[in-house]
Amino acid sequence: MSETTLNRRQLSDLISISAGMLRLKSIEGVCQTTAEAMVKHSVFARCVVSLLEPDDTFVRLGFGGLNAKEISALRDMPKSTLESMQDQLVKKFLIGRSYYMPHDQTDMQGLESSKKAKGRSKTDNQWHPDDFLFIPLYNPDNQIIGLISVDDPADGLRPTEEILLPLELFATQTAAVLENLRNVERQQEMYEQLRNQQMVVLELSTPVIQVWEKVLVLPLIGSVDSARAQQIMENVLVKISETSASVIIVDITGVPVIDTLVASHLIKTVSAARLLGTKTIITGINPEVAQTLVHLGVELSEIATRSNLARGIAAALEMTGKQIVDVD
Amino acid sequence: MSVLREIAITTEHDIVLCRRACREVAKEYHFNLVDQTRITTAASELARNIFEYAKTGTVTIVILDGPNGDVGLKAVFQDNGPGIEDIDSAMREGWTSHKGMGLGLPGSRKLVDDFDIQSTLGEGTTVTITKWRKQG
Repeated sequence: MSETTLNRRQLSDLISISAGMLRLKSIEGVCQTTAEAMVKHSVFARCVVSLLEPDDTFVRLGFGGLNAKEISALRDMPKSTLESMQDQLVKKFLIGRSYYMPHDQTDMQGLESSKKAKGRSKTDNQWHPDDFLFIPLYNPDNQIIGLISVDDPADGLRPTEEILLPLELFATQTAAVLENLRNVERQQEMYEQLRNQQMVVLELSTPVIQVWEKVLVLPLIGSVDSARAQQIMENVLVKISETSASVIIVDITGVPVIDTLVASHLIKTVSAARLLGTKTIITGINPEVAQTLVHLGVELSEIATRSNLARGIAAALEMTGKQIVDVD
Repeated sequence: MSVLREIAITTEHDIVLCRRACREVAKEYHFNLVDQTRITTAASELARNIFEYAKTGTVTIVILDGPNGDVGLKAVFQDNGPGIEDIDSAMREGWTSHKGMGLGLPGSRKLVDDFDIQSTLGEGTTVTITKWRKQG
């Protein structure tokens, strides 16, 4: 097979593997697939894929051409950090987009050199077992998010741009897939957070306060949507049965718009409370809202209302046989 | 006539944004408090109709310059939803195809000065409301 056919074959194999990686759901899976593909479709016999964690250490996640013992030995090795790599990832080691560090120019410790490569005489274009070769994984901002470390070339030669080019292309695909997975993860986290906050707000926004024996106040503040209306109804009914209240005052001073949805939920809440033997007083309907409700055709005549909370409380106390009197 | 606001209705929260926008515009153009509340409430009803029946749509708010220096706030509620089969019934109080009170459309009409509804089955519904500012 000619070299071009070989290259084309290698490229098409790598492309189909990277297309398959799009289906993977785990970051570790992508790293493992990448490492295995590197070993299978390049001259290099061993490969380790590490990703940069938020604390700037590299975690080894994908292994190719290594046995279980070697993998566990690698896992036990201290993690390298981005900082410790600063002397290695420098321009003088750059070939294409990769970094090649001949053993005599660095004091790094890493992948254990393979036995068969040992003792080979060293000439200028020969790979030495203690050489290092990293193909970096970049994010869209061109920052390193991980490293593909390869070792043990079958031809025993130092890497060239031609050899590295298809591998770098593949690394770009891997980086894109990883970035995608991380974005999905981030989005899910944000969504979870948002949902939790929503729940907290819902809980916070419908307090039912006992102001006197058998008298409850539910101050409503902010927009009432269907989820919140449901929550309000539940809170009210639970609190009523807990306290066996005889009157509940719903204060709507803080509700910016009373439309038919809010009105119908109020009416439902009042009816449900009535079934539990509790009377409802609605307070805080301001003059504009009163006019608007009349125009809308909402019928609230069945429901006891008072203009403000103070009057509502006075009325509620009266209903429970109490009275507010001035002290002499 | 210039478009002042355009709000896409896609979630329930957008109803809040829509009525807040209506209130802001009404306030900015010195509509009195009762009319601000009327416009806002009608907007709330109509935006909710979009969300309930069509899922998505848009609300456009414009200011009209009428004769004699009149100022009108016009809001257009447009969706590509299922449309209304019988507009006459829909405009009648107490009639509802959903779980509502059946006051949304007829109620909104009573809250504004001009009310226009166009609907084609399977194509969507457009409701246009206008409220003219009271003189003095």
